[in-house]
Amino acid sequence: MTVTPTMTMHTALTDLAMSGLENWVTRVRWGIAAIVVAAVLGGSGPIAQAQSSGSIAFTGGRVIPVMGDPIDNAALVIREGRIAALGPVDQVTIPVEARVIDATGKTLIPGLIEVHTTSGQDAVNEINPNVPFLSVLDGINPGLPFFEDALRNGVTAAAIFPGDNTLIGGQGAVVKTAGTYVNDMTIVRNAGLKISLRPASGRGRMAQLARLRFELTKAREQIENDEKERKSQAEKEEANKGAEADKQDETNKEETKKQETSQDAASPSSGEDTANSADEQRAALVSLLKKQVPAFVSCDQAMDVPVALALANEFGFEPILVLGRDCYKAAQLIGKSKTPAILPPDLIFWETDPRTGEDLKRVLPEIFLDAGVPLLFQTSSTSSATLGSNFLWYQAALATRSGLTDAQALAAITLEPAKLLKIDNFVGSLEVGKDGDVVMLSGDPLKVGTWVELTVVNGRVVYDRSNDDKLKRLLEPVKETK
Amino acid sequence: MISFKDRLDPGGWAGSIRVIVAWGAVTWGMVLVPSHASVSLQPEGAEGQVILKAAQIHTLAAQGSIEPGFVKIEGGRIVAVGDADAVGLKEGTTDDAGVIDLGGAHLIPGLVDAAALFESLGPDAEVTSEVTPTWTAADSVNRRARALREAFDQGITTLAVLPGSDNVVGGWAAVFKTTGDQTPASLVEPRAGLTVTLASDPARRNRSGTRPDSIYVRLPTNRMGVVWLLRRAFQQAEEEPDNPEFQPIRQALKGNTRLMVRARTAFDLEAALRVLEEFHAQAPPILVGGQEAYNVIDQIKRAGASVALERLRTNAVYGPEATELVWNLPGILAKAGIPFALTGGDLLEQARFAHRFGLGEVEALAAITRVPAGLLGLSERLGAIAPGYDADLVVLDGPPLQWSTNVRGVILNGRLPQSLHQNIRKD
Repeated sequence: MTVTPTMTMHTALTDLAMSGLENWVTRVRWGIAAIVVAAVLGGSGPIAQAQSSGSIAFTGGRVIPVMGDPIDNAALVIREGRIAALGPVDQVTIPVEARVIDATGKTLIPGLIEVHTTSGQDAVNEINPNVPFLSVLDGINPGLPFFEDALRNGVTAAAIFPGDNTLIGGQGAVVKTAGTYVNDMTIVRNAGLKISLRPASGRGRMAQLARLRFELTKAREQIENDEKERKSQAEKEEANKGAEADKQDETNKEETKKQETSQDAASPSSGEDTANSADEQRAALVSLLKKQVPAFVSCDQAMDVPVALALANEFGFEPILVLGRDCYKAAQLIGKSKTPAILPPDLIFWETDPRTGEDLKRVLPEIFLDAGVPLLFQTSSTSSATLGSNFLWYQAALATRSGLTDAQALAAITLEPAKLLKIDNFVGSLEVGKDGDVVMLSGDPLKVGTWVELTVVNGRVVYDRSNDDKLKRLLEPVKETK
Repeated sequence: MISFKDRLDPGGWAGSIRVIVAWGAVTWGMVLVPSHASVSLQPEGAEGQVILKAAQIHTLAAQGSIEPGFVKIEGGRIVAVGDADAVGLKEGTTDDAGVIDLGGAHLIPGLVDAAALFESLGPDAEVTSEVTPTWTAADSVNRRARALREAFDQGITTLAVLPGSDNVVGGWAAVFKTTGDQTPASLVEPRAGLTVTLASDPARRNRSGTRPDSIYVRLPTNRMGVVWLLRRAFQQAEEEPDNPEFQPIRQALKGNTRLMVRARTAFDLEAALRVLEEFHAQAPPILVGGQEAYNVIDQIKRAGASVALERLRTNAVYGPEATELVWNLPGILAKAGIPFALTGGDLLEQARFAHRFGLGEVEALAAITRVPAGLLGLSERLGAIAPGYDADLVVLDGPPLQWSTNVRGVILNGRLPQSLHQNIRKD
């Protein structure tokens, strides 16, 4: 078992669950210092690494690595799930065993990343308003059309979060979109805590915020108590040191082990002495306040934005704003505070002034670009404000209308989300050493006639348009025979 | 419709281009002053003469695409289209002060929505009667409604408002020009076509389940009832030739007016064509909705019907019948040679998606301009950039079928929007 001190991100509960299932092989990648950690619990089993098959080499296409300049007539080699080589075709050695895919006339881009979505789950909102201990991993259903559509549209990773109707909704996770078993797909077990400032229907904002402050205060108290306890524990040990000198070796060993586990769990509550159910339930809030995970704060109205920022300041957590339509009114504030913000799925919509009756068109990419807010996009499978808001590439393409360059738009759905989710050390761009998550397009990205031809996740071809019978059916139904 | 026509003498402006531009500069200068009064008093070139120069003009007419091209507008109408010569400019004088150079802009005809998803004022269905043939949507349209502004902003200059789908015979569809910044929509044609519904909609809200134990439960509550009511209305129209209430139905069956039939599923589309055949309808109908038209291609062709496709969707099934999602339906209809239009707003974006899904570029543009204009019987004056046509133009800052392209301005009846004023050469 390889455990490093940076592997501190999963919570007590998920960790307990993990320890009971030793045959699972899970890749947990996270770290404040952005260190990749591969945690292999137990020995063999249906191995995540097995997803990555033999080598693949794309030759002859145009590669847009996002990090760095595009390369024409390039070769891209993926080996054991990772990018092994990238460069002009005459400078790259193609491994003999590699499956060579002719990409002439095609464009290769990194897999797209959904930075925040509530899709792909069983049910997104818990009725209980305070459920920080829940994890979407327990609700993610890889059989839902969301995942199929993701691959069809070149999305290879998605940060899936609880819905917007629960005060403290639980923990989001980042998963690769290919797979049948969520554990094989998970790349970040706890990507952040979902907090919603929008009151559930029938409730007011005063009660919503009071409850939130109460829970955050409790978590802060817990951190303080744990700190005190640890101090007195240390003093006690110091005092006992001389008396139990003969047992020192054994104790030391055990203490180290204990500490490892507690760090691993990102929560002092897993220490035997302090553990009780309330503490465990609060573990996720504790790791939030320790800045081990960010908060994805759903802001429905513009008024929620300053509140979110003030709360983050007061309690010392890292906020990422998930914006509703109305929040464009707080764009300047968001820009000044340099807080990351994710735009709502409806990027263009109309409003009528309730007093004057004046009709006004709101173009969010324009408003947020003016305010200096880097654009990050969400999709929606139900919205009809714009025609293609269910496609991540469409959202980025729409923003090019507001002056975002094609390169910036592509980065906004690849590298930028990866950076925000702190997974940019292994996904988000095409670089040697990063995961083999590659999308082969029929032409230039973000163009009307461009389709995803192949999607590769961890070096495995998981989508091939030429075999996509569902897409064929969507385009041209099977004609009835008379 | 042009209320200033009578007040101003167009001939007076038809002389020197320079005079016009001097006049225009004054007018447009006034527009920039935030005084509504001055705006509403000035027709903004509606009567004047203007020559537009664009990088590409998609005429949707015999001239095809012209690169670069000129359009000469006079009195709210297009008078000439083509190269510098065609609009009366001499070689080498293309930077004449009389020309508004739109730079890299593309020009397309004002878009025509043959079945707007536009709500009329208040409820759009009559709940006390299923058959209201003489009623007109025109009477209940709020001409200052946001939807009309939105449509205008998207480049839609003409749209048809249909009575709601909850009545079996809903009444007359009306055609409007859309609403600009300061101008309410204007009525083009109050009786553009008789609208009937052959779908689940009329039966949908009549179930007693929605109003338990109510005496107000009314016909129809199922699809048989919908078809029966339609048949009965047709029959009554024949049996009572003097009843003015059925006059529109008689007109439609005789082929003297368009019949617009809302139908989505294959069996509704078939039923519509069957009933019309039974009653010896003289003219083919316009099928509004048409989501499952791919399964009845032959029948539609045989009947000579055309299709006003309901707003394309990429995410979910359609309507109360949850008809299947078929992305390339426009492409299928084009291949079969069935005239069709894309309707329901967001037309340019719909055309882009239709093109992505397999429809040709020219056909995609035609499906939001020339074809719907024809479906509404206005092909003589709308849907193309050609001499004699209304000066309804959309100025785009790039090729029409690219995601990155913005609508830079919409010219309605020759009226130039403020967004284009920056292109006017001051010297």
